[in-house]
Amino acid sequence: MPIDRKLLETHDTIFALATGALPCAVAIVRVSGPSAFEIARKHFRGGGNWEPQRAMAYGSYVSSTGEELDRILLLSFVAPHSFTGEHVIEIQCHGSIAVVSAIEQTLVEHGCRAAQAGEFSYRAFQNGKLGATDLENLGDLFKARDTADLGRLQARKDAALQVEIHAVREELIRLQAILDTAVDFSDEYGNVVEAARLPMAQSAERCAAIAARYELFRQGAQSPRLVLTGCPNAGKSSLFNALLCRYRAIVHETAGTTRDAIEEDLELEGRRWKLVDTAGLREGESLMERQGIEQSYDFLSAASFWVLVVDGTRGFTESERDLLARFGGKPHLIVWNKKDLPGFLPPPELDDTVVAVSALGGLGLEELGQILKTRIRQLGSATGVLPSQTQASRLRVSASLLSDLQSDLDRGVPPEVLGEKNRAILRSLDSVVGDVGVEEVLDRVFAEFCIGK
Amino acid sequence: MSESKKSSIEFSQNSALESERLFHVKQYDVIIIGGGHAGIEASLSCARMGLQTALLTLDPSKIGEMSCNPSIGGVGKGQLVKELDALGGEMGRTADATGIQFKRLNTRKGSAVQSSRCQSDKKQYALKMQSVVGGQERLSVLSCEVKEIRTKAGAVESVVIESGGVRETLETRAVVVTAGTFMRSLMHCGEVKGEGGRFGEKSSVGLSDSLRDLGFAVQRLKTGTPPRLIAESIDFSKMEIQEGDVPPRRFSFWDTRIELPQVPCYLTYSNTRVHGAIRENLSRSPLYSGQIQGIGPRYCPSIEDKVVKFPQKERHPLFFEPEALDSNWIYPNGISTSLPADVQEAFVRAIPGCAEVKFARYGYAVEYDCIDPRGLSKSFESLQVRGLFTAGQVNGTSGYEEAAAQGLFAGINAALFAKGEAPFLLSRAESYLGVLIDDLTHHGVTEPYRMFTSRAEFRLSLREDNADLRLSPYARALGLLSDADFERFQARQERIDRSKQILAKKILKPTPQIDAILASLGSNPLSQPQFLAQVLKRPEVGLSDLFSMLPDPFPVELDADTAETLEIEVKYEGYIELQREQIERLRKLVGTRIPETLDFRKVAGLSFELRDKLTKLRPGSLADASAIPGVTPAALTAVLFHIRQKEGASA
Ligand SMILES: Cc1cc2nc3c(=O)[nH]c(=O)nc-3n(C[C@H](O)[C@H](O)[C@H](O)COP(=O)(O)OP(=O)(O)OC[C@H]3O[C@@H](n4cnc5c(N)ncnc54)[C@H](O)[C@@H]3O)c2cc1C
Ligand SMILES: Nc1nc2c(ncn2[C@@H]2O[C@H](COP(=O)(O)OP(=O)(O)OP(=O)(O)O)[C@@H](O)[C@H]2O)c(=O)[nH]1
Ligand SMILES: [Mg+2]
Repeated sequence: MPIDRKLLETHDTIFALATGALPCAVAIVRVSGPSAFEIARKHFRGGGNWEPQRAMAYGSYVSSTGEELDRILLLSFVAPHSFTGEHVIEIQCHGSIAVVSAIEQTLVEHGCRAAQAGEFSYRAFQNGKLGATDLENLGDLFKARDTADLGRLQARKDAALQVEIHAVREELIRLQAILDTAVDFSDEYGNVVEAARLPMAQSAERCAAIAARYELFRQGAQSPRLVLTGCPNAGKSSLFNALLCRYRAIVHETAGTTRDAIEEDLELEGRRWKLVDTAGLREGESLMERQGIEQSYDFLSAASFWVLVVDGTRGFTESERDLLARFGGKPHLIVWNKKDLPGFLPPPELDDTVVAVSALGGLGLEELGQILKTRIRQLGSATGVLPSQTQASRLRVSASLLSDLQSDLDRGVPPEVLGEKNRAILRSLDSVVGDVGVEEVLDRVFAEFCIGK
Repeated sequence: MSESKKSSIEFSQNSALESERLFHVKQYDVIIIGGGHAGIEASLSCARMGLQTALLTLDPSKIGEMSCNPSIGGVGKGQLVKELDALGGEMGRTADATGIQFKRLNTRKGSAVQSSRCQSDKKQYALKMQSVVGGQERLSVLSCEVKEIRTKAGAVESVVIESGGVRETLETRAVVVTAGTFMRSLMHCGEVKGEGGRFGEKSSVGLSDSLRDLGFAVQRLKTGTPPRLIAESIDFSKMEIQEGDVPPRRFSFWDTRIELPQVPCYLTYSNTRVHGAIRENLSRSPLYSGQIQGIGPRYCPSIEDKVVKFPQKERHPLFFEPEALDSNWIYPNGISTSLPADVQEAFVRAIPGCAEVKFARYGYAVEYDCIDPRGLSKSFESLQVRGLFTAGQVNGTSGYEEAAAQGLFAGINAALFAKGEAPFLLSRAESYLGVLIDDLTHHGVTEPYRMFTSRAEFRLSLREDNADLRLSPYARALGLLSDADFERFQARQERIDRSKQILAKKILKPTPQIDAILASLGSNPLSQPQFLAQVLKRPEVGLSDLFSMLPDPFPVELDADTAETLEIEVKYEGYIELQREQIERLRKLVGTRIPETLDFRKVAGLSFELRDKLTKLRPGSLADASAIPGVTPAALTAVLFHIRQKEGASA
């Protein structure tokens, strides 16, 4: 797109993590721009009313609903006496992902935006704050940018992740195409804006899922996850135990035995994996059952590889098909269990790999192990996990903005305004999904809608 | 040149004719090639800016001809017409004078992307334009074909024209080429093809070679038009009637009137029988047989394209539009085609209401040469030849409005060039015209370029209703706005400013009546006194609703257009404010020119990749540089820094 939005937006408030990768001991979130002080006034508690004149203050950082998120040290610099020449605050907090992302979330709620590489310096320069001697430092900025690029390259090599990122990108372009059609071709497609609901919801969900996996990945010992799922009584726990070669999960003929997911380390192809046993997918009515299923979805979102365990004496169920439709895009295979039983149905012919086993009797487990290993080797270094915290945080923020967009649509906000908001989301995601230009959106408009009276 | 020869190349309506005959003037300040929508605006603006101007065109009786649909405006295009009007152009006034149905699009309450459209009496439209052109001082119209543009030392010197087999040279300081769809044009109707730029008109041969010789890259594009049908042979009772808006809203900001009677259009749909007839004969379509090489616009597909690309669609809407009040020709919008005549007859007869239809003319496609607009500067001057400007369809666009807007812009710049003054530039932050200029010169075209609002990132600010507020001061400075029009503009601006102040300061106190009105609008009661602007910001409340709550009449008298501006500006204040800041920034960036001598390889802090890229693309300003993919704020800082350092050193 031929305009410099990066610079155009130099009047808004930006933030960035000024310290290295999380988790770490202390993290610094730097905020620069007109709303920096407003943020401090709203979110800082400690020692009476906060005013920018208090250059350094110790207290709590609270969320918009007033809960304490962390104890922090708050530094403030009044314009023009700051690095950027704008109002600046620095929030020194604990370097945990949860704390930093919660703080970032509050910043976004104030309309702040994650800074691009070099943006702080750019502002400094614009405001006459960068002298000749600082020129040297610009070199460092490029280094910083290179690391970001490395991250992107890394992500590009990860096939599983690419599939999902591509899906998000497609969804967002489609959304933009619908919103633009609603404006530019309103005489031909009067009510098309309603069609925006689905891509809004789906892209929000996908963004959230990728970001959630990042979180899980960070919190866990950074191992990729292999998730077992399927209907109650399919034999997930039995397979779990068989793969671990020990009796870890309770196996019982009562459907719904496993309530909470359990995970154990598993060495596969020279790599440590987390093997996860989940609650059965039941079209349950009770809240608890429903939560169990929701949780399985979360686990699948965060999985690098998943195995659908099917009771081979019963065949596919509705919810298993749903699951394949939903998560079929990521590496998985199907285990057709209970081969030892008389009522065992022949495994179906599918594009997916289907392995017939008996988890209890030990039949076919050898073969399953081999197939798993090959499949995992094919994944290469792929983990389905984003390489950087910034990217995860942009996705998380986008997910929440996309949900806002849905309520805007309900409130009857016109498509031209929704379009501007979605464009802003696309821009903020360009480091993750890549630049999306007007032409690409138009391509989609013409491919999808028969334009031209 | 003999006396009789001379008169044959002059347009009889022209008032400049006398001086021409007496003094044998062969020298002009500016020459415009082409009397289409671009050429008209270009020649009028030059002449109005005080320059001796010649408009050279193949057939003066076709000046202002609407080659295709008999309508002006539409989403994105209406905005261009308003901008053109605000800049002193002619299209908006003529559209008002000759419109026979007006319709506003996107009129949801307080919408920022409202667009105007009208059906025109195309005969009246062309006649009106011809009389304006003919009556314009300092403007001569010559009927001839321009064969070549000659240069001397990298600047335009003269044009070679041919008329009645005789060649002649006309000297000039600047040229604006607006040759439309005529350069090496080829028309297709099924297997039949023939040279010509428009039905019944010849093609222009030689001009595109000349442009190529002068350094332009030339490419081939295509467009098409539907057949024209005879009204009496159509059963309109089988169609849905579509009336225009009552009352109709004008295009022009100035003193115009809609006086022609307003007439309806008709809506019908194609069906599977129509599609079947087309599908069976696809092999005879020049589009699918490979006979047509040029690339056509995807937003204006032929009916055969629609049928092929959207096989699942069982019907497509078709709008039957009258071409003129005193004509029985109907323009069936939606069936542009280049299928053979017999196939056209077969499929059109399958359209409801068309069983007995008679054809006035068959549809056809036209392929033509145009230049790669990346060879133009931001003033539409050739990067190779000084004084050579191009505008309209030759620049790779399509549409009357796009053409006219460019024509005005190129005309202004040709005039400024001839006067030795600095060019007039428009940024994409302040106008759709600026978006168009930017897009064309940066990215070139792969299909005929049409305006969409989605191309304008500041579309909430670049509205039809405020085009005059954005642009008319420029027109005044350029000498394109009369005293009377300027006074009108100032008065409007004042009304808006004053009204805004009142809305921001005046307080509405809660009363049961007000709460009742609010309730009827589905809005919450006023819990405490509020500023009028705050109340108007509620999505459910319109300006007229707000006025109905006031105890006294609103002190400023507001016409519909001004009320609209006011309502939108208040409702979208947040966005508009943000965009205004962004626009300010952009203006600064555009203002920061990158010296042509700057060696990007010497800029410290740039990656090698970027150094290469910038060296190759040579952006002229920081704004241009920022448009290049991969150019980060840090890179811009480095460039800016380098420029400042150099300036410091040389100062
Ligand atoms: C068949 C057809 C279908 C079209 N369909 C559409 C459509 O569906 N939608 C749409 O938006 N637009 C359509 N258009 C395009 C629309 O007509 C043009 O965009 C618009 O008219 C362009 O204006 P212009 O001033 O650039 O050129 P034109 O209106 O084409 O005018 C060009 C002028 O230049 C003159 N000229 C050319 N060469 C020379 C020369 N060497 N010497 C002297 N004079 C010369 C010609 O006589 C003519 O007066 C169509 C055009 C045609 C012909
Ligand atoms: N015959 C036979 N029975 C099996 C096999 N695998 C599991 N079962 C039986 O099926 C029942 C359910 O096994 P689990 O492993 O608890 O099943 P699950 O999928 O974890 O079930 P939930 O946790 O309830 O969702 C138990 O009674 C197992 O003994 C198998 O391969 N052969
Ligand atoms: Mg279990």
